Amino acid sequence: MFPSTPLLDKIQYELGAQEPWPKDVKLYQPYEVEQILLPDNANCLAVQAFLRMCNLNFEIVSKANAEFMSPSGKVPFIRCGAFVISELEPIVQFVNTKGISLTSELENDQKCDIRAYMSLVHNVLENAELYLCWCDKETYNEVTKPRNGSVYPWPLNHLQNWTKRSHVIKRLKMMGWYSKTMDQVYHEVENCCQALADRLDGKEFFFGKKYTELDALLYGHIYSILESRNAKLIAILQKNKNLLTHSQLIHRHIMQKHFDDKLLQRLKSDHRKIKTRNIKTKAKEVEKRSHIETNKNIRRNQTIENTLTETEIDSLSDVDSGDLSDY
Amino acid sequence: MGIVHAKEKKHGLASPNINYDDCDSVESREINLEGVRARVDRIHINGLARTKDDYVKGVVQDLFDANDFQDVLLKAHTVRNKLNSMGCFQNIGVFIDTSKGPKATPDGLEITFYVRELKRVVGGINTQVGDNEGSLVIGLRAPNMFGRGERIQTEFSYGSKNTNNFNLSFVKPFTGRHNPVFSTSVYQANSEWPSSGYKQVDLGFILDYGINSWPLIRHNFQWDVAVRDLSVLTKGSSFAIREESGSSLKSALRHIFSIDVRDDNIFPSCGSLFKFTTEAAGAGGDVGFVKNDVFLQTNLSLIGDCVLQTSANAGILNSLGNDWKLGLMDMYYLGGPLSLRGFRMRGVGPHSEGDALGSTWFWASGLHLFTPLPFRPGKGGFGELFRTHLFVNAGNIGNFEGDEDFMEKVKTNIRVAYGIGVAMRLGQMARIEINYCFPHSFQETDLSQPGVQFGIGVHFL
Amino acid sequence: MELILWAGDFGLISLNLDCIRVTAYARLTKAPVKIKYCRNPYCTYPVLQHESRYVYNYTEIVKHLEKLSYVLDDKLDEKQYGESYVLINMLTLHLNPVLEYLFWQNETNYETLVRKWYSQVIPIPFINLIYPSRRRKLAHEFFDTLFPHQDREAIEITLLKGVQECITCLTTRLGESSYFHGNSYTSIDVAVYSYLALITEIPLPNNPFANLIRGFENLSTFIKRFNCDVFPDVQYDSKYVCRFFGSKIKTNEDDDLSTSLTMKVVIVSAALCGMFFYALSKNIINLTKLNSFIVIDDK
Repeated sequence: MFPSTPLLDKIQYELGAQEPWPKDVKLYQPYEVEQILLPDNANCLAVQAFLRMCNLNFEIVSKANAEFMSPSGKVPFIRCGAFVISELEPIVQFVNTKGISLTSELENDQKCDIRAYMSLVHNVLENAELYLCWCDKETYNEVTKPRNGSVYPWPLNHLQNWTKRSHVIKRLKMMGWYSKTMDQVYHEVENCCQALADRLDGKEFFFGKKYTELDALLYGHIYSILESRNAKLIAILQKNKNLLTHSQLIHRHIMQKHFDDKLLQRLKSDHRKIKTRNIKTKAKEVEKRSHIETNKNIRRNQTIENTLTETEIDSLSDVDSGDLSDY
Repeated sequence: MGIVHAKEKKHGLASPNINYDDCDSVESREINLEGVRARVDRIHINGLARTKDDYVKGVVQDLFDANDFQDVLLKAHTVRNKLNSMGCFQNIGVFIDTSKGPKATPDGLEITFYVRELKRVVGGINTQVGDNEGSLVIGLRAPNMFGRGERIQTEFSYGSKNTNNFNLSFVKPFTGRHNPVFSTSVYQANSEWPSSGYKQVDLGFILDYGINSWPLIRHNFQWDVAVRDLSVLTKGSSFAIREESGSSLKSALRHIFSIDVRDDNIFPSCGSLFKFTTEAAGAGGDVGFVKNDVFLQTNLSLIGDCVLQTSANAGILNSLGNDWKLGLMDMYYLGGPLSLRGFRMRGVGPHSEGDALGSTWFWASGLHLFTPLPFRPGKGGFGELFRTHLFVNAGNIGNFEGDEDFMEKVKTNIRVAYGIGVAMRLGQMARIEINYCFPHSFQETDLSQPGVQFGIGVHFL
Repeated sequence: MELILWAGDFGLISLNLDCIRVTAYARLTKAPVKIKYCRNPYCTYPVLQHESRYVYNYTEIVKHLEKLSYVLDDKLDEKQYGESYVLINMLTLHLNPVLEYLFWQNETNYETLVRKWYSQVIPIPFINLIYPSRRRKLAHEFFDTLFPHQDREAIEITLLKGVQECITCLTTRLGESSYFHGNSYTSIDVAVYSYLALITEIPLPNNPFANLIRGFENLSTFIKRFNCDVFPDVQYDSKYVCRFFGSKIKTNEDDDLSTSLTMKVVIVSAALCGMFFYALSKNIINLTKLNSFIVIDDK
């Protein structure tokens, strides 16, 4: 939520600026399939999208204790040489020191707009997601508890759920969200989406044809909300169709391409391994894994396509892909 | 008030009559106590309130076996010590008199123990400073709660950096031939390891059952369950340490086997200590390993007050497999003033960016020559608190990996350091050492510390 | 209608953020409210009492006032409305923790001003000592969860950065004009004033944020102008603490020296007495021996 980099790091950033983007950058996040929660997933997707937008290579590492490894206690974080940086804003700053920026051509007031709208997303969507996950009884019992506790043995899982919940509640209390009811939270999300939709208007991205970190952040949140299958939130999103098309666009042209390539590669290599080793159990495991991944990817596609009507998808295809490949 | 009567015993010879009242007279006489026949008729214990009779009975029973007066005196002394070690009484006085009354035997004695019980609740508040942190420690103790030596102890320390530690324990000794003691405790402990770049918070629970299988052989069976929360100490800690942060749950069964026949804890002059610990984690929780540690110390008295001490310490840790976690706190570390002198704390073995990572096996050994201070200042008094020592330490540490022969690995790259120093006794438990060390052979990755090294602790190599 | 507010001081109508916002809102819409102060820290503020009905919370009160057709943002078009909404959210996100930090987390501020102020304001003894320390503990917990494993300095730098970004946005947005939207104050002006005034107006001894904000001239003049336009009746003074706080600073050093000598004597003699009586009670000093010693002396 807040960029957490003290002065010393600032100096370190500047020292590190001379070096180019290394090859072995790793992005750490919790397990996507069984562990990650809605707010974390949103932030992870946002950082992934941002790095892909910048055409920077990185490897995703799933770790059960990613949250505890992170210097700010929040996921995701990247490890780039000697630097460990967490959360979107500091990562954006760090990338900027390498001379890579998505916003270099923007005016000052537009940069201000980015900051303001990103704050909006953090303040409303992130807090609403946290509220939904930890304070809504039904979601907490059915989704949050089993998922957050999945990586711990009994009875540590209950202890972890309990401590995490009390932390989140403390934070929401101070930000004035804990006293809200669920309906007020939904209402707040509605306002936020309305404001974002108004800003987006009919444009492809927030600042015309060029995407920025704001687009990445919004994509992360919208996409993980769609994945979470929370009917109420999705209904709110559907009222603002242009937000969905916006996410769909980013997904197709930035994330999807990468997912497809990677999946194909991995499946191929896995099959080769199976053939050579001929180990039955291993084959099962790999099949299961690839099954999950393909399923997940199919689901990713489905979730977004379900929410869009056919006509809109057609209108999407009108977007000139030639324009996009320029970036 | 408890009175214990002796059973009637037959007596052969009549013992010589001695006028005990004469003992107080100025004129002194030498009496061979061994020759004085005596028999304990009754034992009084004066001052018992909540302590149950049967609990004290077992302790004093030995006295009835005494045959002569010297025996009575010696046994009375041991009984007094035993009563003292029960932790129920403040001060104990012994009074021996000839037995009177109708049931008195000719050379019968009556022994009276005057005891004063401890208060129901004893407590204290004190402050501690250390590790850049001040803390307030509140301790409460309820000794001898139900009259049979049960006690509850609790200690709570509140640190200025919001590090709260507490320990609540319940101890129940049983009477019996094998001295069984049952104890259980719940604790939370914060600890920082700058040499490894991490800090940890433990929240745990221990069940312990101790028993003597032979007079000097002690077995402890323990069940230890702990939630360990590890986090990096500073932002600069290495990534290898960062990768290990998070919570884990350990549930371990432990068996400690120990024989201690030394004549002193701190500066023994003869005798040995042998300790073997087996720990198996994995009965629940997500931490799984089997750990075997052995410690051996032998002392040999040479000419005068010179003592030659050899000690050896080794450990092996086996993981239960990839599905199980193995925390940094479970690993072995070597180096520091308490283990391998001449090296920094945890300075031997694999490191990552200056942070010790720990290993799965180690061994260390030491050869010490303890002598009194040169020219023996303060002989028989203050000077006895000090010893000078010459030492040679050797050790090795490493991980099981690759196909290399294990024995070969153990034998290569042995670290050796020697030196000279002064050791000081600190009460009955701890000692302080100031040494001048010369690391003799070490690896490039090791952090050696030639020169003066200061150490304070309980267990030294 | 009656508006119940938390106590104010230092030229601010109240020291509670939402209280300032609500009062400014009511004054700008010319809603006929009577202001009443309450000094019970455990109430939620602000409270609007209207015909035996109580309305709590800024958003609810604004809703209630709008129902009574006291509307502030009626002149805004949709885009401006959206923009206000976004800016207000940015302010809450970045400045809420700053307020929390300034009053409760910062050691110097808490010890020299905040604790004293609260102990003077809250009329009930004991509560006036318990409340600030409990409130402070809450703030500590909040920062521990928000910035785990970080020291105060790092937190301050992070917050400063957030404020810097936020303020830059506001100055660019405000520019040379007097109002954020159009020719009159709207809810965004109210929010900006409430936050910035709370940060800058209170004479906290350690306040890097205020200096940062004062560096932007258009914002400082904005605060002053808003103060004159909306709260002309509130004069700068220090009702509770500053008078004795200020006088204390002057005499502090002299007092320290003069009291220290007498205090030293008192403390040392008290300690000696204590030691003497302890020794007597433990029979370390034998009184009879002492007596005989004195008697011999007399002879």
